[in-house]
Amino acid sequence: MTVGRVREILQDAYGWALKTDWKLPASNARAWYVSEEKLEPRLGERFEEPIADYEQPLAPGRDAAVLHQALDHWPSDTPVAEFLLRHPEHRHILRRAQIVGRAPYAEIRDNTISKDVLPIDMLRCKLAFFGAVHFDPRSDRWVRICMYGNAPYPEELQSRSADDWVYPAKEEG
Amino acid sequence: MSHSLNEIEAMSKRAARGAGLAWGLAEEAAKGTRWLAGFGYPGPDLLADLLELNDRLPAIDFSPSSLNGTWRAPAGRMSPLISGAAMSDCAMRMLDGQVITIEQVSHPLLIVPFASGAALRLGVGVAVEWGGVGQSGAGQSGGGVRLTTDGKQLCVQGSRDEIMTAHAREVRCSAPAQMTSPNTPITRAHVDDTCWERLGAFAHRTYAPATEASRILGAGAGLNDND
Repeated sequence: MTVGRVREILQDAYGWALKTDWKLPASNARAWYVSEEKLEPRLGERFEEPIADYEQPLAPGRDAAVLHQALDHWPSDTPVAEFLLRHPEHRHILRRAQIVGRAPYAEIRDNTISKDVLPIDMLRCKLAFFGAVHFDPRSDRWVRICMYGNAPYPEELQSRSADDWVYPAKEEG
Repeated sequence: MSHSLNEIEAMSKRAARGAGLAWGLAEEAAKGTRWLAGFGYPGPDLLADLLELNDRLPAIDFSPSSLNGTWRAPAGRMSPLISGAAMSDCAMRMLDGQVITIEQVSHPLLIVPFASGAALRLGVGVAVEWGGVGQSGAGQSGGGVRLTTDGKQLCVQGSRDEIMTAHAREVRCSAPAQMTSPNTPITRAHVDDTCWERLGAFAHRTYAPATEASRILGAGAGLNDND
């Protein structure tokens, strides 16, 4: 892939991020990190806690904007291999861009580190893939859920529809 | 103890990041380690050795100075992760008949998973060779090692000692290559406790210590879950 093609993908898939002013503290107020305490991913306040050094690569919008700027003075026909050799720090986001270039639903198209981010919707989306139902937010950072509610038992797999058990039929009467 | 390949990949990614690699390279390291473990090779041990060797040193020192001609690293020893990733990025050259030659490579087996990625993209087998007579890598007949992969399976020629060598003077990557007597991957791997602890020590550097500030700001789930 060439630098020019990456630029096109960035403008197409991360256009919102290229228009964001990342110098504003509000645009990158938060940081995702893994806590030593529970080894769980957490969302913290970048400017109020000593967490920036531990940041996980979970800010694709900002990283795409930084990559776009880093590519600015590179000729469009240069293979990205040449660019990455000198800038391995962009390898992660460049891979994400390549993936979203062929799979448009692969990326989160909003600011995951904004001061206004509420991760509850992302949590809900991710947990739904695991089979979670009955979402019951306990704060804006954690949600109580039910796993496999109304799911069929193994012996029922043949006789019940396996597709819509999360939406059980309303009981009559 | 036995670990799933997922566990191995997750631990390797954190460890590589903890040793100072950029996230994208840490991901490559993790996928490569997992891939080798899936074929019964001690990928986690090789990764731990490499991370200790180059711990927190600048990646650029162990990267090819140029992708033209023979690849050489300014520090005199080449990272198999960085050169492997670059080889995979340049895979199309091999289809044009070009042999990618890389000098003074640390733990050359760690390059082979990148040949797998290259093979999947090219749709042909990719061979990685080192050691042996004349250092060209000629498979068992000339000493040396030749590992060939089509992305899904791995063909191995050469002695285990040479495959596991800590350093190769010259590694050559080429395509298309014939697949002979292929092995298929497994889904779990044994990693000894010492190795797991070595990787764990690097991984630990990526964890943020809990602070009073973070607790006050509401990090993590609350302790009270009563209604």
